Amino acid sequence: MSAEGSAVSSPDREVAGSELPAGLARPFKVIAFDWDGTAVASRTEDAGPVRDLLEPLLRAGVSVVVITGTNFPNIDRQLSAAIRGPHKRSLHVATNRGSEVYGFDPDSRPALVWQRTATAEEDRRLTEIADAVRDALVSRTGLDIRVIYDRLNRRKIDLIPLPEWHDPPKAAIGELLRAVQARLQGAGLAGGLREVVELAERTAREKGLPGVRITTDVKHVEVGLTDKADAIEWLMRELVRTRGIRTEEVLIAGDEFGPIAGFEGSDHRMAIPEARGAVLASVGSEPSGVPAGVIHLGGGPARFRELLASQVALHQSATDVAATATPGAAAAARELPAVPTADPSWLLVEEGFNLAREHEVESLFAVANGYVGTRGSLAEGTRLSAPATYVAGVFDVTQHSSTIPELVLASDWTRLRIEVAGQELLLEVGDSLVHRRILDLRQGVLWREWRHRDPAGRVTRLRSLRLASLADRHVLLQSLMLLPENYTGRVHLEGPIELGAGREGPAAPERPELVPAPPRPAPTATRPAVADAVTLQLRTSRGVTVALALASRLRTDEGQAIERAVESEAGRLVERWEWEVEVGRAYRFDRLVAVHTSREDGQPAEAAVEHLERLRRNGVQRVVEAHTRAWADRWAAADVQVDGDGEVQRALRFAIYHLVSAANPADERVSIGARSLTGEAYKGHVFWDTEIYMLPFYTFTHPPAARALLLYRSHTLPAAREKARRLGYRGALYAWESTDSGEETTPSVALTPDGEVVRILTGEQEHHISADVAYAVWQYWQASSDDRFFVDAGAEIVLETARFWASRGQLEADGRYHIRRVIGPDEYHEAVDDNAYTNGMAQWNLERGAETARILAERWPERWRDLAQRLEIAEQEPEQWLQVAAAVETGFDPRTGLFEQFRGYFGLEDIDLAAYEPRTVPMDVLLGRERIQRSQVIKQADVVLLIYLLWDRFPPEVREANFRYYEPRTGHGSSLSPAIHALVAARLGDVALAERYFRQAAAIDLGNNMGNAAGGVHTAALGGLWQAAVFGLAGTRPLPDGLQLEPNLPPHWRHLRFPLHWKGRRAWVTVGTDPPIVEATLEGEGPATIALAGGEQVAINPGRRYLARRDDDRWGPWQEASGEDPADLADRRWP
Amino acid sequence: MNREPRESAGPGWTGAPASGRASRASTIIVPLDGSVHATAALPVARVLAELERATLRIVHVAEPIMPPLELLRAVGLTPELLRGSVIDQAVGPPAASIVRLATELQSGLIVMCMRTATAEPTGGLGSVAEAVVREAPCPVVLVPPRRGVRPWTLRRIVVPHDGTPTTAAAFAPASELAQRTGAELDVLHIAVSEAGRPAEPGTFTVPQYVDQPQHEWPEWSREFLDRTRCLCGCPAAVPTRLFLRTGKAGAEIVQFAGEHESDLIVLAWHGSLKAKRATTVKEVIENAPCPILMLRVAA
Repeated sequence: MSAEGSAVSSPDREVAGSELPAGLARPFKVIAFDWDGTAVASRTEDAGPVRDLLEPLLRAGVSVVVITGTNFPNIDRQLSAAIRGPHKRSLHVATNRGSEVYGFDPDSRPALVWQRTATAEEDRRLTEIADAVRDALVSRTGLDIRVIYDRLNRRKIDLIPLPEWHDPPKAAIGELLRAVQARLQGAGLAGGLREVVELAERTAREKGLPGVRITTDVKHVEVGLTDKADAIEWLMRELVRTRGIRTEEVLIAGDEFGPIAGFEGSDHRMAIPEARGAVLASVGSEPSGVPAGVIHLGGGPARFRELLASQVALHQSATDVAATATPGAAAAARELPAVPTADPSWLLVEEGFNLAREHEVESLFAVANGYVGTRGSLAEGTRLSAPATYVAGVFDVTQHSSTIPELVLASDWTRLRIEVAGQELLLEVGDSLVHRRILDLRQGVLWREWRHRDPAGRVTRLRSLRLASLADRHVLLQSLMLLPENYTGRVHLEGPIELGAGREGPAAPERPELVPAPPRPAPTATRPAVADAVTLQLRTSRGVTVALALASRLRTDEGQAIERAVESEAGRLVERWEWEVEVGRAYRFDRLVAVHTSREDGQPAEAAVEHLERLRRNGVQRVVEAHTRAWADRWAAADVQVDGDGEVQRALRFAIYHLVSAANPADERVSIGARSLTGEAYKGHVFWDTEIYMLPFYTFTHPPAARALLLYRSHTLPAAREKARRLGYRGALYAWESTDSGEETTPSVALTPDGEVVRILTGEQEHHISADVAYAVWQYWQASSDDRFFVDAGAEIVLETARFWASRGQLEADGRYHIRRVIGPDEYHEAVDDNAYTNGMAQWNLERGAETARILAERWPERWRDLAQRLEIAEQEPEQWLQVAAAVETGFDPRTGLFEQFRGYFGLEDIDLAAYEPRTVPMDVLLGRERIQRSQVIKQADVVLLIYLLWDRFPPEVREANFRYYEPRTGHGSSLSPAIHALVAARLGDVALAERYFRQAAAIDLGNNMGNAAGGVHTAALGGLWQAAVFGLAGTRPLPDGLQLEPNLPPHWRHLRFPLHWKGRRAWVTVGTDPPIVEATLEGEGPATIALAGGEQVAINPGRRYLARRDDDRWGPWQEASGEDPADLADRRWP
Repeated sequence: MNREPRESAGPGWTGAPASGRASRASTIIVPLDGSVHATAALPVARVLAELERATLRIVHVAEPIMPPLELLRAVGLTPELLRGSVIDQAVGPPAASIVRLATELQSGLIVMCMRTATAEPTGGLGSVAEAVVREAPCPVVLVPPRRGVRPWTLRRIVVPHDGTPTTAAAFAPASELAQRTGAELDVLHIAVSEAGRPAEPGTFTVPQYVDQPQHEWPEWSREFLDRTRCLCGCPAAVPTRLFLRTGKAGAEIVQFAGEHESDLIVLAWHGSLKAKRATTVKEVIENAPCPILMLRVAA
């Protein structure tokens, strides 16, 4: 329970007046309340005032749950029928004393979402109990006592079926109690109401109905299967835990928490153990005081409305972060089809405007869905804007000398030009009274708020949103609300749509751009064109067509459309609106875009137009709702919650946002480029980053996305085989950099800022990527049990990469298998022999190749025969792989426990990197290329990465020795390095070092002045950050039949909580530091094993909670949490 | 949709918009104290005055007031050498008099020798030059005495840039000079090993992470130049190259200017030459092989 309140507060201690106590002065995300007596004085009262307060809360995304003993039609009549609109989806009504819950569909129609269904036997027993109690009472008192049967899952015994007490108001409860007691005691039942209750409890026991609930509202004694506790249990399960809401963000209000006439109040049942931490408040008179932890407000429904009004204000101030809001601004905000998330831990905010940072901001604030991505450029543009939209998998070569394919720039669909009285609205002209960009991580929406005052003093308020739909990946949306605050006048809005990429001027980079495709055949007569639509059909020089169909609409706040003109200018189409705006009125612009390409549609233009037609029919609101629902689903499966460090919390959500935005589970022919769809650096090329750094996130939170990414490697096997063949090897050698075909696309030279031309050898020598791909395949298969994938695609990758390694090296005179002239992850050292990472992963790959052959032969012999025949795998070949694996030179020295990173490494110059700290310049820049190659300074985790990936192959002392040796020699010249060091340091128990590296990793894109993000976010580093939290600080390690945990959290992280997909089930893990505790729950079918390092292993079952505590540096046994034992949950605070 | 910086109407030493300068006669002040070294400023000043279409105002600070020919002799000029210029005599403390005249004339520029005393042919600023640089209402070009009176042309301008937006914006005059003369702008960024990275928001320095040099360096170079050009209003047509060096900034700038035969070093500085401040500026002044355009930025 909340810490507010004392053990029992007396009536004179109720919190009076309009000031609410501190515990209530914050915005709650879930507000649940009793209806009769709390929200309204009676069920006949006009609920309009309550409704007026609930609607803004619903619009702000607050989940509202009405809890009542009555049936749904009664509440619908009084409250919910009059609420209409998309916000109604946030309303639920729990009726019939916790027996059922109603929600509302997108058309505001009620839908039963949960119900406790009594069996025929239970129904019969309920009636038997009620009848027996009635008969006993009638027999003893001779009174008219009646049973009401037609109630769901309960029977009501009416103790006072008199006309004057037909429907007593809650306010008259004292009078009612006196009347009931007088009636019962006057008829010879000395114990009165208490005796009736005890009789009912005894009768229920005798009739053998377990779990029966006996309650009373004084007029009735009720015998039922459920009570309000069931409503709260549902709420905690469905609205709180699955959405990652903390219990502290839940408010439960009622009017009868304290005892009445010696009986527990009806709302007391809402204080269930699962809701510990939620804030409880009573507006009832509570004549006997309230239980500990309940805030007693008193004041009845009027006070409850004050409480709601304060919540409205708190949410609006959090939502309407434009602190300078003017009258009408909140109403205007609602003109957009959604509102920003209120909780700042979900928001990345760029205040003001700094022209120099524009490219960074554009990257960080990109919206994407794995199919299409758009940078967060300002719609009206600035001198430094670089708007860009990319479509995954659409590559082309430039018109210049390069033959290397690059991700293509598609048409800019976001550009808007606004003139007020002939004066263009620009950030750099006039004053920006407010300017703020908000990346809403939770909803996947880019918001912008701008109040602009032009040189003549005209103030214009603009709010906009932009999204790339996660529910329908071909869809983009831009909405803008324009409100003239202090003028009436003429406004000109222009939406130019470039036929090319839309960048102007000689500063435009030499990037491949789409060009207009030849005129397509006219649409067939059977399909009408979309009104107001514009269709573009563009293509690459390699023949891929990209079609965009756009529909734009401008309306007044009364819904009246404003006429549009479309003109064709050189190289672009321009939509124009010109109209008279009135002071204080809002005008809304929406632009829906459907994108299709010839990669997935034979007729992309037709597909785009048809898609747009569907979108137009359903409306913008539906697009937004489907999108935000899709994001909610992804967050429910992926959110990592950190309690105690807001900066880390935001960094993790930022990472997860961009990881979710990068993947498309529906397209197995694309992978994720180094900067995903957020920028043009790295040309959209795919590296080992995907498999080693990003893929674990998808494997453990969204297996379909992981599967699609691995299938990209399956489809590109032919190119990998060709590369191996070309270099004189067998099997499959994946390209170090690849695009759509899987062919090698690594540039052969680099031009440094010094003008030095440097030969790039990674495309020729960095071969560990083949083992990295095999590792990801194996990890996905182990974690998902997706046998279909393994048999159809994964096994072939493992076999072909194993075969590559068997041909890559040589068994030499020393009896060892040497792999020479490679580049490991440490790219400072080229053409080295026996790189520890490469050889270690090759050895593992060879072993898995042999294991794959064995498993296929045993479990899927037909598939094995087919594969062996097609790949010409000789019978003895898998055995040879094992022999090669055993002979691979690992560079391990048993005397020191160290792996030599490559042959001769220990003899290189040992440079003290600490002498250069603090340092933000890469060591190869400081020392120069030649010296760094002669030194032990390494670029990134190499041996340390091997230790992490193959953790169980090394004894603890070897892990420790290698980390302590290589960590001080690592220059972290790669953004991939800090997260892996955080992870391994945490696993080794060095929490301080782990936290330092974790913060360094988190700052790669979010740190001030990093600048690195200008060309796009570092998607692999973001994946590394997720791994550092889940696999490092939480110490999660997948086991063959479950998960092992070894948490090492920084002490101020009070809790870390995350879900993990595991073999078709989802585990939720919570790690706490004060007290040290681990909780695990499981969703899905069948048990799983969970273990604590150094502690016991337990099989956990779905739907139950398991807890383990650490005392004296040892983990205690797992215990199933009953929720009733105060000792095990006493200090528990949920993240 | 990069908005291309507008073509400028003139060099604009003060950075004022072209329209704001049209109403006054443009002047460039050249203080001459009669020493041989002082005349090293003249070839540079004449080229800049021609570019600016400005009048060269030669000023000699001395008492008593001299007749014109005597004044010419005092500064080592002949009537022929004065063609196209104006000579003034001022009285009072030299530096203050020069600054006062520049203020009164709303001069766009002061061009002067770094040090004129024969006893100090090498080393830092002379006392007058130092006071003028510190107090001048306009940019100052400092000419090293050793370059003498050789003709001066402007083909390569080196712009040392610490990556801050403030410094980038200060380079507007250099950009306009390059645009007017067709000179090449060599933007020089020096990666410093110590934790000297400026804290100004929007600062762009050498990347901390170079994941793949074949991608990172071209992107970084493009971004650095994009930001610089944008902030100083340099049109893309001006040939601009980026150079990266490591080491001590002052020494690197001097060495770079020597190696690349730079004609002008452009330094953005914060206006203080006190001890332990502006060490880079002092080092460049001390050893510069070519004139230095000093552009003051807000501290």
